[in-house]
Amino acid sequence: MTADERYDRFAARLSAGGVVIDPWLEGSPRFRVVPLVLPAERWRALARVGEQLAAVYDEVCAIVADDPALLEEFFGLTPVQRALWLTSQPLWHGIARADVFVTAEGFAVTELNSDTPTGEPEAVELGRLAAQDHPDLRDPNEGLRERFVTMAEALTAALVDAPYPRAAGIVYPTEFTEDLSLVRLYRKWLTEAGWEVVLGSPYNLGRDDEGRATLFDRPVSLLVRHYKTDWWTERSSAWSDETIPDAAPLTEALEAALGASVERKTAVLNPFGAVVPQNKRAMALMWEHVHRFSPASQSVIERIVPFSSRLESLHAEQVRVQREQWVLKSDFGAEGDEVVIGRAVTQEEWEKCLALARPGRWIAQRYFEAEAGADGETVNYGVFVVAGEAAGLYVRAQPGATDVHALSVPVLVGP
Amino acid sequence: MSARLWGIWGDPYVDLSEVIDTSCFGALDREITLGLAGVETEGTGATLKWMGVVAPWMMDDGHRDAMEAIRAMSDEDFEDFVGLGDDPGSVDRARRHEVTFGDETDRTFTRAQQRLLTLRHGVYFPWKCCYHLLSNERWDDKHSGAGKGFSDEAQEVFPRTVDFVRSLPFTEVGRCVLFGVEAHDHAPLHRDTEPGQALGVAQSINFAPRPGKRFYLQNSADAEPVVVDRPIYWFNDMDYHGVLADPFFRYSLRVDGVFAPSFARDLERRARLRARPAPAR
Repeated sequence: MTADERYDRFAARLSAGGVVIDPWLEGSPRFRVVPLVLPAERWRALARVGEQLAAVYDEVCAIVADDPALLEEFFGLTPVQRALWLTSQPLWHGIARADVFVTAEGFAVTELNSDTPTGEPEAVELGRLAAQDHPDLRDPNEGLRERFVTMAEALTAALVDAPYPRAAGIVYPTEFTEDLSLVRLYRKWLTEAGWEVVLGSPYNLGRDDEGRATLFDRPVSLLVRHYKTDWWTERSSAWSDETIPDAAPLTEALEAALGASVERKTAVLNPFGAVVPQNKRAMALMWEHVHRFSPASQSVIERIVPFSSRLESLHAEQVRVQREQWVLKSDFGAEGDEVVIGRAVTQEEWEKCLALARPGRWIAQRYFEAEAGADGETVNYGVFVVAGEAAGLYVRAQPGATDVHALSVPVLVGP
Repeated sequence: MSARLWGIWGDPYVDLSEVIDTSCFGALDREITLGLAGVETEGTGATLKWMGVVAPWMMDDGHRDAMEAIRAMSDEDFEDFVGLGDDPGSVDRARRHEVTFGDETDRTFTRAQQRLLTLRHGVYFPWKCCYHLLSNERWDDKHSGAGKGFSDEAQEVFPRTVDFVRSLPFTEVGRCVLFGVEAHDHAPLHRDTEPGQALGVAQSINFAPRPGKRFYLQNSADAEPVVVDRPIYWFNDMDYHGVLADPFFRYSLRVDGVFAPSFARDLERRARLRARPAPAR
């Protein structure tokens, strides 16, 4: 059997699950067929890193809750972004994904995606198939569904006054076809748990006479939000030479979702408070204000979070001449967007980026060298954290930095 | 039921004439009207009420549904009807009330069956001039282009139209159908997707090379119909939509598929820009 035939057969098995039905991206395979087998000890270590990172982010949110002036002075949040935080704080978390790499000095993380993390469908479906083929090994994602549903139900019970309908709305950009596998998975999980599920976009939100959020006029007590926080708010480019014409916030949709949330009629998952930890400047806070963290968190920051600083806090000349030592990241960039790796660009390009970086929107992070395999690929271990505890693993492999072209890899845990 | 339209990005529909060149529409109209005069077309839409997709306030408008007529037929009439089908022997007469016919079934109407339903049973076919340039097997595969292509006849009779459809910003096309409405006919208000149940707004481009087809959107009996007066547009088929009657033939084409992501993002930016409130003065 040729490699193409093997992949076609694998793709058919994957698609038959009804969740991930797009095994190709731009004509090339999106997935690796052969699973990566992690020693149990490695999986435990990765899980610990994910949980420790989530705990550090929780402290970030506690610090900001104690000192709201940071919202404007440190994070540079817009008025609507501040409103998102102030109406949700201290809640920020439900499900997140910590992106962990292995380096010669140990683990290093690039971010905690705490807003609208992706990869769950790929991880779950790849794990399911791999476990079928290797029943002697453990699927690290086998419990993700139960953990997610339990968390969603606990969140709703805590944030919504009873009685409430067992109805959930999944809010996402319905006009686009990306991430539909995630919507299929969440709908499947919630439906299997006995929830009525309604699908729609922020433009389909409203409120009923009791104040509960509605989606297509159907009242929902839980809004699963797969629509990035910064998309709801005022928008502007992170580059000073670029103007985004559609800058206005989604006011009506926000009034519905936030209003229902504040009045304990509808819970929002992930909470809108994710606007703070999702902001890359949270990592700058970890280092610039490291003294405000607990000793345990200080230790974690020093060990796994690369040194990060608001770009404007560093000496401009230092960043300019130390190109190969830095990575620039915009505040709300995601999945490789608005990430500039110094050693991947020319000095001229680097200086142009620095010149055009809109003030108050960027961080500079120390570059770290992830260990590469014999084929030159680095592995991004995406540790899913649900309610603060590691609950799954999404592995991607790619030469260089991770972006949408990375191959998703099945992963199993050995003895 | 909500009276407002669900629309797309807060608009009732998306006008695509800002982003797609329609200067060829005059030539397309000449090609299409000439071509339609020679090809075999079919009727469709006679079972929408049976399928439960017609707007509730239109259910009692007096236009008879084909399945309702079939269920009410005497055994003798049923025999006549089945006898005009493609495979009369395959229909189990003893279980005739379990068998369905028409759109989205395994027993689509033959031309003769359509005529009999119309002439003897008073059934109303809203679209009497329907032509598939690129066919789908089932409704839910209309966005996938896998294994599909324009028919040889369509490429031969409607070459400029096929070229235009190929130029549209889709990564794949799963269906391309011409819907023609005869003079004085109307298309009943119906919706293709139940709000809140589909994964997304169906990605489609509708275009009418000849002006005059009053395609409209309306989500309650009391609401004003929103007539789409643009030559090319994208609408949310979760909204009830139909065609108003006029004393002349009208047609449009609907192309279903998957938009190029950059196209969809550009449309969203434009929609949000329009939604921005005017600055205070």
